[in-house]
Amino acid sequence: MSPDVQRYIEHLLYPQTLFAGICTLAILSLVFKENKVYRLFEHIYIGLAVGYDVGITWTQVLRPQWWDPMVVDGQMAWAMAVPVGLMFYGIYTRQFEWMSRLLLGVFFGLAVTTIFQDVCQGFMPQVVKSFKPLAPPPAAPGDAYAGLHAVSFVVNNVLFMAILLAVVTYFFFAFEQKSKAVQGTSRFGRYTLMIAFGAIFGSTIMTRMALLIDRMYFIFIEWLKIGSPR
Amino acid sequence: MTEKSDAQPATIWRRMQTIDPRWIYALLLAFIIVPLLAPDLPFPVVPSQQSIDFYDTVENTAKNSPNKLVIVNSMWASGTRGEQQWQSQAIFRHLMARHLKFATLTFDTQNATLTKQVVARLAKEYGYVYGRDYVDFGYRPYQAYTQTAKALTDNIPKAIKKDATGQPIESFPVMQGVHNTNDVGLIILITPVGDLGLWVGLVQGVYHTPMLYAPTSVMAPDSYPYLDSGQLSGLLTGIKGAGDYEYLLTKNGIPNAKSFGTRATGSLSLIYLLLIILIVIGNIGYHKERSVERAAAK
Repeated sequence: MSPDVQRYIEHLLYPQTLFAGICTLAILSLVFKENKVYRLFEHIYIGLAVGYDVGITWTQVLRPQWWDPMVVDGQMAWAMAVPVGLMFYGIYTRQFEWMSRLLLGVFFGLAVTTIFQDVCQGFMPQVVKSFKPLAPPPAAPGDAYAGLHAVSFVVNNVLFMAILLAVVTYFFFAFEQKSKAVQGTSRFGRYTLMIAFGAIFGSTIMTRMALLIDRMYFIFIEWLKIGSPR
Repeated sequence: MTEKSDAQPATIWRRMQTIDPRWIYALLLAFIIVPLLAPDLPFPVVPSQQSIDFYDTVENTAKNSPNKLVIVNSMWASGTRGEQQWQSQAIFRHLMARHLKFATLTFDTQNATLTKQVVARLAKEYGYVYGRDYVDFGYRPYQAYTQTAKALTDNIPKAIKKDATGQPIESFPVMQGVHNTNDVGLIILITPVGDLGLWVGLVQGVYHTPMLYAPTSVMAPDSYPYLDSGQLSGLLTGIKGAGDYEYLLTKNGIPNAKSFGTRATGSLSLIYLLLIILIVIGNIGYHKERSVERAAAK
């Protein structure tokens, strides 16, 4: 056996890569039909992910921020976090249910305060920007296509405003939409929403396909080494 | 036997609507692996305006605020590695090529390791030194996401305290002069979760720090209102965005930028072509079958 072939076989059978390859094929076997190998590897994945989460939470959060200050630095006040945390489990008994509600109330209060800021700073600029000018700005000096740019500006903004009004009309449920004009506007709003949902679905396909391409890249290029990695 | 003889043979129009999925999988596989095995096939890359804006924002930060820190919040894990590892690689390559200082932060357990691997590989290539050129703020639990992000606008050293290795972050040269997000030149989110609103509302809006967004393709449409309002300065849409970015980096003379993103863009183009052909075939079959049935009913 030539050294190249031997190196290739060693690479194929290298435990980590081999395991990754088998995992990928086992999960992809679902496309043919539900099977026990797929189930086994699905459970392995879930177990690994949960175990990893627990490990990282302990090593990067609980130990440095809670255990070490309490045990190593002697800041015993941190011990109070245990009974307070245990109060959450009161939800499982009728007698101590109020304890969990107390904590949830505190968390709700904290969340509400941030949501005010979030909404004001997050959405208000979008509301303001929704009112677009319908008259084009003055042409830039030396712009050979000034007329075309002006037309494009107006068409874009008119389309934006028309779709915005139509979609808002579609979602206006305060009164029955009897007028034909309102019904037509609302229908136009619904169609534009459907076009947007179609575009979003196209993006969803892109994500799924990208993940599949990545796995194929691993199998054919990184593992089986059929084709150049560059 | 009787059943078989009674059953009507499937027409061509019916067969066009019920192609065996195994044939579709086989075609899909072929369309994916051809560009992977033949990277020299000339698939055109036309970067989107959002990708160009993303690139230009990093360039402008390097030009106008070269000494300011860039915060990169990564949230991707192995589930979206296919899109976001390559986005991360292209983004960090650009930051390092332009000598920008950066800090990484995550609220995802797996990402704590995955981003570290990407950064470590590129740091070796660009001679980036930990503590001097970049710092890892480490992992924070997802439950503390809102509070941590909000606290960055007030006092970063107090909010983060220690880096991923347990050292006080104020001890690193890269953190000198960084008090809060007003001292940050750019915020970049590489994330598959819907946390954009939180960052815009609680962080970006406070000092109007420029912000860039690199989500998975499926999350990208959610960000269009933020782009339109100017709250976001650029967007990298999934693997297409990664391919765009690799193209822009290469075009602007940054070496070794071409990677999986470029190849995957070729595969994606072929897959979309296949999907369009299959949709057209299915619809032709559906409409023809209906017209044949209508004619027979008359």
